[in-house]
Amino acid sequence: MNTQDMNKVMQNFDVLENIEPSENWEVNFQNKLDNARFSKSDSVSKFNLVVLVLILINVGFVWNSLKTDDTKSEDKGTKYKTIANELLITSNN
Amino acid sequence: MLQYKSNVINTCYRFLLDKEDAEDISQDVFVEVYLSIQSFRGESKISTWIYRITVTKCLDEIKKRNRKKRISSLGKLLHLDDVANWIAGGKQPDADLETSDTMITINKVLNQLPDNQRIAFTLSKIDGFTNQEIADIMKTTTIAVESLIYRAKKKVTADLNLILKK
Repeated sequence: MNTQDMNKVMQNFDVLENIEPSENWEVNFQNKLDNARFSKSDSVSKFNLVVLVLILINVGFVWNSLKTDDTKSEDKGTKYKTIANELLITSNN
Repeated sequence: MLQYKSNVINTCYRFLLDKEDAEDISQDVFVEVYLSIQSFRGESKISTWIYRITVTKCLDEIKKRNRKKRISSLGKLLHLDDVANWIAGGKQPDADLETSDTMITINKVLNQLPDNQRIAFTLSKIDGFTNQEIADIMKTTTIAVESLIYRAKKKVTADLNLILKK
């Protein structure tokens, strides 16, 4: 192949004519934009829902652990009382 | 914003060599521009930002096409011609381009280029893009752009030689 052929091939790319947007360009663009906005707001609300569920689960865990701790401290209190009473009995003896 | 419409479409056309795809991708570009305009921090010119989105979208589309082509070739290899054609979607450079054979050849050659060389080379062929603007779009220096264009030209010439010899 000679340089002339190659130049011809490249010239076709170099002088590629500009194209004009079709008449439907604006309409199609508007449709795409509306769809994208809708799906964006949809995904935002889904994200918010997921965050809310996670917060509720977390609150549940915290509340549950606090409740369990209260019971434990009550148990400990009873235990200490018994020990104290026993000690008192022993010292009285 | 839409004042850049024509330039964006023609930039897409240079990358994709297909009118329909160029229109389609240019619409996607403006959708992204509208949705993410709040994240534009004004560090560069708005046109540079828009062209950066354009280039990214075009490269994504080219990669998608190449992926489809590979799957389609695999389909043909397995004699699943219908499936292969369906996957490929019959996308080639514009059929109504007078020089479509030439365009297919050019497309083949450009597909062999690394992304950064392809961007620099293609943008350099579009009227109105200076090396400085290309450098801004690619977030690099003008010297790097010149080097990329030089290497791209060299590779394009070598690959064209190979293809046209066959």
